[in-house]
Amino acid sequence: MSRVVLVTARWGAEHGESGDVVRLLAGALSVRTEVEVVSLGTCGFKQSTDAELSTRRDSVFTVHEIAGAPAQTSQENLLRIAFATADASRVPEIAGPRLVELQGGRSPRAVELICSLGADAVVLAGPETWWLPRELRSHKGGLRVVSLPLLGDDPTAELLEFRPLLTQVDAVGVLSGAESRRLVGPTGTFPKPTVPELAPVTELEVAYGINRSAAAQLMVGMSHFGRFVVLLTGFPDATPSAPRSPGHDYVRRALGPIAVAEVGHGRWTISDKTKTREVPVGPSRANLLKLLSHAEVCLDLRPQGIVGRETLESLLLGTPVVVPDHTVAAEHAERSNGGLWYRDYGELFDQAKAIVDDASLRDRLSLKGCAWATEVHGDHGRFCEQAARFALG
Amino acid sequence: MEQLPLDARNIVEKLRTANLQHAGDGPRSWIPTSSFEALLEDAEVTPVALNDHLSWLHANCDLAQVLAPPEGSGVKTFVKRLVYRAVLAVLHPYLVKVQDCIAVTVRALDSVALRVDEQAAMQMRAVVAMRADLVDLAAQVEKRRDE
Repeated sequence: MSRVVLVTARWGAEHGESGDVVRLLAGALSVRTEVEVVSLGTCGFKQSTDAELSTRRDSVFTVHEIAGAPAQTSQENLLRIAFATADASRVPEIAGPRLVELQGGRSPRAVELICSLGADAVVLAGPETWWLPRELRSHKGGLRVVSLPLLGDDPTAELLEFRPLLTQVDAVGVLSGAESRRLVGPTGTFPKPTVPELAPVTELEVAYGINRSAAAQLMVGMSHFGRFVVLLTGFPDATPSAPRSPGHDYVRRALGPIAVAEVGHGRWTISDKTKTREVPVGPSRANLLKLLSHAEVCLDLRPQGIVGRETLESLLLGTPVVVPDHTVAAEHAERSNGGLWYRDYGELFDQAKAIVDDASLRDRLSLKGCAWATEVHGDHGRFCEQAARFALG
Repeated sequence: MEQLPLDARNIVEKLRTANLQHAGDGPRSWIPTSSFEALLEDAEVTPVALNDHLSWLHANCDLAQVLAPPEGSGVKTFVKRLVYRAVLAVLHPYLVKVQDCIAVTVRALDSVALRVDEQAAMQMRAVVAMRADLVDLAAQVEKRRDE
């Protein structure tokens, strides 16, 4: 069996959707190959020879962790904020390389470790791995190295230091049309300057396994509220609770007799004209699927995600979506004809109302969306094959 | 599934156009959009979308009540209704147009306010994060100095 080493600085639930995607990829690879994960810490720009190394089991994976030095986090955050907010001409030139190095966990032990694992291929996930292609090539010439360079909207991805992930690898993977356009498209801002020697780009269509029968069970207590819509205001994890979003009330008022279940920030609530209460179960992925499965429509109020996981899951379950324009989710809604996209909240309400009031439109969106999502994102076996082909060539 | 006639882009466009054409039907979706942003609600400066003048416009832009026929009974009301009908016979298309213009203007203002508030929210988020990092940094400098 072939052996693949996945190198990333985004292993774990604390990395949000990018963490989800990296884990999904590792899972897909593990079906056909042996997978070992090297989890990079942020070790600082001075090459650290004494970075702490530990190995542990995480589900089917062996994870080698190179611990970071937390003292550098503040510096990294300050630089990241400077990049995201300041006029580019006023950011000191040294700031770019410094930030990339801080993010990269640049420890020689990482290269030694990766080479010692006897891998047939190395998959680099995320811009933090920018420094590895060159080092790996110099240590082990014939090794196949592929990368998923973007994984989100990180400003560092625009930096020149990032180029080895596009040019010095055997293949580049992207997770959406938007990522693909960012790399090779005519209107994309990246690369600056152009990268003529760009490695072949593969579009990976991630596939989430959905248990439709489990999702078909109605949650206890939900029948009191009759028809309802799901309002996504945060990522459905178990982060500390926040007060109910004001958007909840506005959407509920706009939709008249339809109840609104708000999912986000660790506290899920549902309300109709007369009562509001917490959804009677804890936030979990399985419960989110149950909610989505029975909702009239899923309204997404969140900013850009990497692959729009919840939107895809909603489409797979046959629930139409209303999502923000210019996001990956909007791309899915348009490609599938399974949802609508809004520019402002006025449009959000109009579109939600149109879907809720018109059963025929709702059914057509639902059928189209479900058919497309099942075909493109529903086949986990195909994704596993695709991932293995991408990694091993 | 291909036979099922549906084009999401068409529906989005149709809904957008319908809103412009029927703006005179009354306010439907002018919720002060910045209210979604919890950060802005705690801001020291009032969000643009919660500006008093804009709120007043939201509350008063619907002319339907003002343009309704006079209510009541008696000779005075009868005469008023007569005048109302005569005036409306001439001015109705103009008044509908005015109502449409007001509706579209308020909606456009709301969109602008949303953009401004979004920018403000982004800036605030950055400032909040930067403040937290500076505090962190200061603590670390302090710690190192003590060491």
